[in-house]
Amino acid sequence: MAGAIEKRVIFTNDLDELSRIRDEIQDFIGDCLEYVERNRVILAMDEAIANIIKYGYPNGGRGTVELVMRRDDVRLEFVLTDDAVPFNPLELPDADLEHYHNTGASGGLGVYLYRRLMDVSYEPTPSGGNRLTLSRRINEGDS
Amino acid sequence: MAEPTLTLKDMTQGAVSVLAIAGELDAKTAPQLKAKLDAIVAGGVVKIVCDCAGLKYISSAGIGVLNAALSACKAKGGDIALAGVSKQIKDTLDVMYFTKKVRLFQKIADAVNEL
Repeated sequence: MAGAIEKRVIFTNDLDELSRIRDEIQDFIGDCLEYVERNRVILAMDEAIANIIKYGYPNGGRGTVELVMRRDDVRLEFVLTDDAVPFNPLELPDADLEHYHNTGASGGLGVYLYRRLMDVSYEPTPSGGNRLTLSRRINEGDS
Repeated sequence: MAEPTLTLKDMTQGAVSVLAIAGELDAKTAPQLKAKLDAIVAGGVVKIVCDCAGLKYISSAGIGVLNAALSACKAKGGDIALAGVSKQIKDTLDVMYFTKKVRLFQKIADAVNEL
């Protein structure tokens, strides 16, 4: 993404951070998406970040996560790099929504949501953590 | 002290409890909603209208709590309906296919009458 606008945010694995990070993402997206589409991006990112915070650091472990946000005229990209336990969300099977609703389940759809709403890629980091990239095209007429 | 990101206020109208949900419903705040809904159901009220007019954001954690409570209420002959849902919140419910399971109303009174 040559010539892209970029912003870097660092946060700890604390659910109290979620609201602040959503605000950061909303400010970064600005007017390049209309508000329902902007909310979908914020939702996808919130799900990915909440999963890292809730499940990435078991047994009370502490960690920091880096979020790098980039945008140019055609694309939005968000890269999450953490030092959490290895987890490749692309290896999960598709969610069974009918089963979810019929059984009154209360969780487990976060990965489904961000995989549905964004283009997702994953790679392990050399230090044993994870790098998760969520991106989407900015279509004409979105803003 | 930071502003609370979720506020919950409930009021019983006959056999129906109206629960006003305002603010942000995410992985951090969803347990607060679960505790409130559990308390309402434990008090014997299984028909609940969630007034969502003040709800600014909902994630899968919030929808999960509503989904579980909806099943619990239906199992006891009750129901949960949502009122005053914004376009943005409805889109998230649609993405999760939750609008296929829960009834939405524009006005609280209409939801109360239908439950």
